[in-house]
Amino acid sequence: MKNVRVWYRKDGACRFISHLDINRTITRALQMSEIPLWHTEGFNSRLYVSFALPLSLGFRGTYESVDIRLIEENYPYDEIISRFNSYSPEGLTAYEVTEPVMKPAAICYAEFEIIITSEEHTNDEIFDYANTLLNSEKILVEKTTKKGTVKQVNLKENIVRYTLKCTQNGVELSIVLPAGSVKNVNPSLLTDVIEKNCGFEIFTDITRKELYTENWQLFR
Amino acid sequence: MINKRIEPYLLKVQKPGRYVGGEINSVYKNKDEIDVRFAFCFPDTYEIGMSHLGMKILYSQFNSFPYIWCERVFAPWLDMEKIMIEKDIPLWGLESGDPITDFDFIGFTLQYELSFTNILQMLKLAKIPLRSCDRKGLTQIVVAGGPCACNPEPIADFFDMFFIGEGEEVDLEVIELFRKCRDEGKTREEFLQLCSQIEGVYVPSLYDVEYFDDGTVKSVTPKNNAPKIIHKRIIRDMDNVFYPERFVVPMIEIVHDRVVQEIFRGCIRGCRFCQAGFLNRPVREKSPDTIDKQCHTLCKYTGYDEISLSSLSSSDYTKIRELLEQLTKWSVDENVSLSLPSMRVDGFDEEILSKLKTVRKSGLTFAPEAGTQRMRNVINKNVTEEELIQTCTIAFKGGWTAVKLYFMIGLPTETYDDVLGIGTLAQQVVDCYYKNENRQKGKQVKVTISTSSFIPKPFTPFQWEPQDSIEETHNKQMALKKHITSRKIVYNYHEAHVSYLEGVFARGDRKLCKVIEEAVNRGIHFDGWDSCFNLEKWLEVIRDCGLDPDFYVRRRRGFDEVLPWDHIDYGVTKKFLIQECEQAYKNTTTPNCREKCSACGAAKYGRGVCFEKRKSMV
Repeated sequence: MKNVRVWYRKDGACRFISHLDINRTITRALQMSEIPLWHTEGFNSRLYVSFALPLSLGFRGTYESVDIRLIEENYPYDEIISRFNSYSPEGLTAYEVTEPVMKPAAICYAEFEIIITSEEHTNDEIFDYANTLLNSEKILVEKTTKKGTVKQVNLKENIVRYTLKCTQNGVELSIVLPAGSVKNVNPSLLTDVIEKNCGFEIFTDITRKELYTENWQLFR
Repeated sequence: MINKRIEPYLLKVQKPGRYVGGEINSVYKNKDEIDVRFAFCFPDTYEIGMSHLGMKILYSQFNSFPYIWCERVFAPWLDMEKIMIEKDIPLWGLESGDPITDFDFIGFTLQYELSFTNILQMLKLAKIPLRSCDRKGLTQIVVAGGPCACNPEPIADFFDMFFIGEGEEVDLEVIELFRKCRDEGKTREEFLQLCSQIEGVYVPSLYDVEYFDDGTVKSVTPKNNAPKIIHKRIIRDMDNVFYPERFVVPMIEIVHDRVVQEIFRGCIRGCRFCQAGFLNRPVREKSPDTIDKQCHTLCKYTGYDEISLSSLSSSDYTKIRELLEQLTKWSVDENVSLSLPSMRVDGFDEEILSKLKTVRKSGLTFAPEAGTQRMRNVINKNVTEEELIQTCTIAFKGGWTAVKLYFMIGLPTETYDDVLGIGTLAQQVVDCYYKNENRQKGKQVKVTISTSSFIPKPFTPFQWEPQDSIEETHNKQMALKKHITSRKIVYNYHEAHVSYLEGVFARGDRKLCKVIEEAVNRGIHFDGWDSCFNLEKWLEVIRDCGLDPDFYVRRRRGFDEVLPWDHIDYGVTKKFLIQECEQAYKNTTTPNCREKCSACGAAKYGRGVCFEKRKSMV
């Protein structure tokens, strides 16, 4: 038996489904693929899959991964990729299979690319609002915890680094935020304040690009 | 293909996965090679519509023809609908993302009366004229089928045609005729007239309805050569009828997210309240081999690990043991679990039970329907108290600790004794759990009882009966609630208001078309959803249209009255229904189709249970 990590992109129609639904969709695709995979041995046996880090509904992802357990240790990696892709919906595309190097718990940071647009306002306007906000001393947002209580968070101190550009496609924000099981900051918290600051409706297109460990190694 | 105009707004609505398509096994075609575009519309949300077996069958069947492209369309939820109206984005097909406005066929499935408003709302969102008389040319042919097509009169003005009975054959005949008529340059009117000559097609515009002063129907007169009576279509050979090899596998969770395998159509029982039992006569079974093969194929192509064997009464399948034997040969190894919904109280044994829990233990639900033996005799639900207790004993011995029981209140001749009897019966089930020595120690039993309100439906022996008033239903529910003292019994009941409105449409006539149109104009739809349903608003619309809802709901019809659906034939004769109604009044039961033929009329189709050898004949 051997654990392998399948790397895939999440895009297209699959961008609009939640993590739970991705889990179900990938499980079914693997079920159909007839790749010899290990099932859990509990009372309700199920196919073993384990995701590195959930991705929110609406986000694209270019560096997503799921761990599966092969029964046949020599099963070819390219066969996994081609079978995964022929049984998963368009928008979920596997591109690499590796042996897991790190545990998902090692993930500490995530890099996002966010494109902000608006229907009735220019990109320059959005840029100004976003820029002022990102340059301010504190960015306070309310975050609902798992226990249902609301607490105030200063986003500013959570932003590891960012670049903000105004392009033809919209305002491009590239940002690194804490991610993982210990501390996780969802970039939509930030885009929500940007929208509040703008005072008009904005459209955001968010892609998770890369995941890093505590000492800035790429998660593998 | 995601509709490009809607894409930017998808993150502004709940569950955007409803609107994007792209699922495994959904069908994409090249528009240039397509001759007929068909929008298969389900007048409710994605999660509900995607659970519907009929849509899965017809979607696959249509798309098996290279020149037909059938796409799925669901009712957008209120948040999405608001955006569509604001941004002027017409309703689109999930596959192509194209507006369905100019599709050749717009087909609806009529599963429940409360979805009628959603049909009109969807047509509006698609920018298609609501009334059939306002649609011109050989395009936008609006059609419908499904159980509620048995009395389509309340929506007759909006449809070009209805398919009566089972759709697999008749739909295709109409599509072929459409292609021919278009090639020959025929008009819409000529096409519809030709359609009316196909058996099972009802073109409502070809029938004039006259009324008496009291509002009852005087006559229904066909014109332009349309048949006087429209006969339903049925599939005679269940082993060779089309069945999909693939289901579209949804990416978001839907209501019934599993392989659904039909095992037979119809029902031998003849419960007198049950419309499906009469509409789908006679019983026609699929062979275990066919079912086994189809199940295996579906699991392979969908990745599902659960199969539901579907029918009106699963334990009446004659080869149930053989079938389960065959299925478990591979299902256990492949981690696939089986479930058998619609089990009868008297068709249950340890062997079946052991097969069902080979992989996963599912819930157990039974429907005694009424609380006393007298009441069960009236409705012809031939199940005894002893049988129920025996069945529950088996279930409890098998390790189950929860059962659900379904009942109806408001049945004809019902007294308060009958209503309270439901609580007494539930208590007996609780007692039976504690009598069982092998019960799981330390576990409590839970008996959930649900009551729905009886609604008299067309083509049943109770089609002439008055329905309980809202107040009466409410009183009965409260009386039963008070009668239940055990905390091990959970009592759920349906809102009486909803059943009242459903009662208006179930036995409605064409005068209601204007009511439904007006309701939709006033923003009423999604009536099947508690959060949207508002009876007060509805009553206002009905009054403003000059009609009285009690005329449809509370009135006892005479056996000699012309009923709005009398020109439609489902095989069961009116004479038989009258006879059954009279038997009900005498608390007398009628044997099921396998015990004895009662000459309902369905034997004319020349197939099914009517021609099986009965034990009494051997």
